[in-house]
Amino acid sequence: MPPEFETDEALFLRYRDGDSRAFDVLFGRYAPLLTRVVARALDRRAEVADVVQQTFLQIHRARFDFDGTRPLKPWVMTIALNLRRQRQRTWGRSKEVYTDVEALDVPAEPPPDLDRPKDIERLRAALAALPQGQREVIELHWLEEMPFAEVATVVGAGLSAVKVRAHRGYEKLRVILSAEPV
Amino acid sequence: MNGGDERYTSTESEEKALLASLRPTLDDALARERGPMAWWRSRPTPARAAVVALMALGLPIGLTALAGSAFTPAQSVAERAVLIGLSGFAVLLAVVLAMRPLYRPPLSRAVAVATLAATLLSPIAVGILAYASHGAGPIGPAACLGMGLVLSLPGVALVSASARSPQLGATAFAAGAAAGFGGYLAIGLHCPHLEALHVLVTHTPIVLALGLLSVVRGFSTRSNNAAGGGLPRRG
Repeated sequence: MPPEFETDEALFLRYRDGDSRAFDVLFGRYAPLLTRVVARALDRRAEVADVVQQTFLQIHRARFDFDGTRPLKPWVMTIALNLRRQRQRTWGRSKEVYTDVEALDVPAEPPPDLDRPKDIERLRAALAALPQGQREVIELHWLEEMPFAEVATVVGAGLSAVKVRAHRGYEKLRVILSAEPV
Repeated sequence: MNGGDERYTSTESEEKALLASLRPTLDDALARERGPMAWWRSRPTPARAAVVALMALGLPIGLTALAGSAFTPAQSVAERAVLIGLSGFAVLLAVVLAMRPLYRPPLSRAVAVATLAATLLSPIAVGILAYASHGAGPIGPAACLGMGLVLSLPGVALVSASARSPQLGATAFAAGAAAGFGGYLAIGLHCPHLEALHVLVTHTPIVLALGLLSVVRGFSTRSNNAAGGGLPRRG
């Protein structure tokens, strides 16, 4: 099977066994995704490039830790978000916010009237106004279209807590984005 | 690198340019991942953690056991067991905190603080228990502190070599403390001065000092990175 049609996990296992072509395909799939995710919180080109590169380097260093029976994407995204948080702390731009919420049955889908702004700066500003816990959940679920179960794995919280964060975040985001841009 | 201090605006053309410039730099970085250090860093986390813990606990206990009479004779078997047990517990906590991989979500601040507190309370508890058996006593020779720090150096080197990226804050403290327990335990098993004040003033600070030094080293790494010092090497 050509590598382009293989799953991420199969490619990663081949890369781990030394197949550099598998890494090329993985880089093609993940580099744009990682760049988007990192660029939503960091605004300097050098920083974005550095964190994306560092993510790939850490993936390489931790390659023998990867459990091939689990999905690759949450594993990679967790590394990227950890490095992004670390870089934000380095520059003193972010404060860790942990939301300890127990199970609540609340709707956690993006409101139907909430449009994704085309303007990256406006989206970045709106997301930056959210607490970190809510921002990360919304980025992964709404913008990267990851299922809540995977989002929960990435942020290290329970499924219901993640849904609560999403619900609260979407409410705030709707208010922020519905305001006229300055 | 890649445009210095320019703002990233996330346009399609800019993304393409960034990715194109990223690949050669990444290939260079991956090409440098060769040799025994890179091999060791890429070993699975449980294996590296087990070796660090064994180094901190096994080396002093093993050497002392091999030396036989080198165990301090004034120390009862029960005291020795308490010292080894509490140190082992603290080393395990410190190693778990220090070597938490980046593909795991961060621990909540409360859990990290509780883990660190338990790590630190362990050598303090040994000192307090010493008071029950041997009284407060004089502070005694300060050489234990220096000797303990020197004996911890192999642990420091191993912990440092095992880190996949720079360690900061609580993680850095835990890494330093894990290394410090090697020297602490070696001194604790050999030193004939068992009084509480001596233990608390010249043994316990081995762990504290290495933890603090590791935090300072982490801050310095962070400052270098913030100043554009290239890729960080966090653990």
